[in-house]
Amino acid sequence: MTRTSKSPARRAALWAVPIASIAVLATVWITMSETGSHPGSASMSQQQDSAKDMLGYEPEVRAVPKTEGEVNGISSRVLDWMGVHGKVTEPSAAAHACQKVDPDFETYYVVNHPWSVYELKKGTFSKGMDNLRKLLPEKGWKITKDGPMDTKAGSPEIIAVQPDSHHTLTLQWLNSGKPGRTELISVDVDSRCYRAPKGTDLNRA
Amino acid sequence: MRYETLAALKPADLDKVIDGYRAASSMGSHAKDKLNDGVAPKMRESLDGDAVKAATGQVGKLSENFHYTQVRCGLVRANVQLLKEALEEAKRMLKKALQSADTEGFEVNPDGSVSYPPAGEKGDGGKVPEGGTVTGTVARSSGKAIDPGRDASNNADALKRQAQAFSGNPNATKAQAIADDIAAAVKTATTADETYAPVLRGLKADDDLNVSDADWADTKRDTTASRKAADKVGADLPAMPEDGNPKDSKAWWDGLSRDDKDSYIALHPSAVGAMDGLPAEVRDEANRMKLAEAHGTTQTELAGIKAKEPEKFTRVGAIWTTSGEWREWNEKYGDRVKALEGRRKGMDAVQARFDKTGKKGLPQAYLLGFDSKGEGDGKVILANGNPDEAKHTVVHVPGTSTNLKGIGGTLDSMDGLWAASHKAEPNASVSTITWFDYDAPDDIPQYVPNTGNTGQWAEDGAPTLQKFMEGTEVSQGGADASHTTVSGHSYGSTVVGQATKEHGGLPTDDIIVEGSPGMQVKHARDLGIGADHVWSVAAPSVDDVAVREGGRMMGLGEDGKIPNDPPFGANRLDPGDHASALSGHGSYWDESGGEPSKGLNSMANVVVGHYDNVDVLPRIMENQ
Repeated sequence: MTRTSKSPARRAALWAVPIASIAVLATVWITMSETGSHPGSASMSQQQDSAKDMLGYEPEVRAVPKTEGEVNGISSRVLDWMGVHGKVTEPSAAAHACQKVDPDFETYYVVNHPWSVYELKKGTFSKGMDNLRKLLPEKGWKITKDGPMDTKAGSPEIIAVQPDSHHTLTLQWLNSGKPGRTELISVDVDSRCYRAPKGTDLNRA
Repeated sequence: MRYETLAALKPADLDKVIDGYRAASSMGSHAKDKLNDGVAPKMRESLDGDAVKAATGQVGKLSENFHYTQVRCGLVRANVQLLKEALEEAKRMLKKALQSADTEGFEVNPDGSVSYPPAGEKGDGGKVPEGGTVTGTVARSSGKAIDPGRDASNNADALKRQAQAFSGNPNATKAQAIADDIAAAVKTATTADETYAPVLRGLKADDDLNVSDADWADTKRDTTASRKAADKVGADLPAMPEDGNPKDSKAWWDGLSRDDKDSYIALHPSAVGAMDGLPAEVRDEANRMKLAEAHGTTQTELAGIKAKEPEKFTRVGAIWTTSGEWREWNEKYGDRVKALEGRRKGMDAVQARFDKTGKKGLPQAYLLGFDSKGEGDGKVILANGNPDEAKHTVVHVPGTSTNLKGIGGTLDSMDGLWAASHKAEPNASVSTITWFDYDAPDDIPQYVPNTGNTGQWAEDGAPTLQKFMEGTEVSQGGADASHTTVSGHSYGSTVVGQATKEHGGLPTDDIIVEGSPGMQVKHARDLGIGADHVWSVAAPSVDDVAVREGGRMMGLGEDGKIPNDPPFGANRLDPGDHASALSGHGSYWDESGGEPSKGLNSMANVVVGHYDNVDVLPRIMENQ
């Protein structure tokens, strides 16, 4: 296309392509080097400021076991409120990377507790969801969604938040009437991002 | 070694030693596993705070001692085993020679010489040629001294033989051949003895209870020495398959005796640990040995350099300033220190994952590949849960700027995906694997157009990934043994796309890509598994857009198509609200509070094959 171009205006337009490319590259470069940098290279207050910019809140400095304990506590209360008895998956709450701020998992963390209850010995899944629908608001949770999931199966889903502690609770009644699968209520209890106290090795916390 | 010694030697006596070391080695292995998987988690359950830290710290030390015992005893066993085999070979040679002597009616003397009786046609004096005694010699040209009788290499031997032949006694030549065979047997035994004596002496461990970094570094050297010894005595280990085809590798491994398997793990941990098609448990054992040794060597080198570090600051008048000596030291070693510290950080993250087994319900981890250098940035392949027994397997390829130092973040994401998948289908075992065995581009600027091939990292990495997937399938017992998903983040998805073009395609049921800058194909159907099994998730954040559009511009997507473009034809996952903030290119495994955790649960449901539980965006503009 350059061969036939003679007018100065078109020639100038051609320059725009590489210039725009360089501009995009520069942006990419800068964003990549920013996301690749480690929080350890800046002071704590600088890190906290930039975390606040990214998250919209300043992460509280808190020891991992305390945050995990709090989430485990919520999980066990949720199970009680469901009023069912059955098998529960083993993993407990665990700290993971606060990807947005610190993907290398060095200073900032969230606590997630994904678990499910299945093979009920007492109660039904339907009753369990109903119990939560009723009890969550009584216990200070705000239900933000109660309806079918945006999936082909369209399974029932309840999402609730705790306005003070900012925990999120996601409940999904999955695999009902699906042979070969385990029918269950899937539960996610998730915390906001926290900052680990100085000297914490998050991989071992 | 002398003839008499060899004649009296019973290599089978070494069996007791071999069994003893094998037992000690497996005892070490069992004790280590028991401490890691049983004792430590129980302590974490019942103790709190500093007490648990102190207690599990001690358990960790003890477990390392047992690992060291396992590795050292395994190495001693392999060496004694190969020494025994070499001595048995010498005994076989000797037995054959003695049988020949017996048949001929010759006598073998205590010094190994052979006496033969008078024989042959009567000469001028009417006498039968006299008998005599000959001493064997070993050809010097052949290091292994096999078959020297027929391989006379020096003139003196030849002259001697001629002289005997002229004596007219036909026994003379025969006796010489037998004597040479005896000498060769003695030589073989002597070489084995001389080769293994220093190796086994070197394997004598320190008598202190503390397994130090230097001990592991020594182990690495001892392994190399042991391997050299095996080469020198011509150890009879069945040769490794050459082309590395996973099917052949598995067949080869399955055909080895237990002794040979043990010897391979002890002497060739790198080859065994990297061999696609071998059982996960075998690769894990070999790679953990490599990890401990690499950690030892890294620490030792680092300590050596740090010991030379001069005082950093010096006072000039009233001002403190960096000292000239320190600057010189830093000039010389600064980069090396950084590299070593980065390496150590990555190894610590891998070790930390092992230490977490059983803690918070995490399954056992398997190190399927490890190298502190790898293709440049290191190599880590780590599975959560045994892939050989998994009903659902996901292999995740991390992206741009992945290196050993920062591997902890990716390992953590795969812990999260494991927990989410286990939650989604608790009655089926799941294995989530981090696969980092390619040289990832260090940052986007490396894709600058017209400065080289932007797909080069993918082209280099693709065959390795394809082979690993084939190996996983072979080791699992075939394509139907496990439902498999390959996942690629950022540039990792480009590697995945390229790998589908490898011969035979990529053996997987589903493909998920996160923040993909292009997969080197223009449509999902070109990936060879059916477009409905291709899943893409992309965050609307600035960083994510920059990476994806950067990739499009650099031509990582054929025809300028990248997976999250609707016309690409992939199922597009809803990333969830929290992935849409202004920054971040990795929020896919995140479950930050305040927003529903959509992306991770959708990925988990792909992994366990519950497609109708995946939150997919509506299909739009597909025909553009």
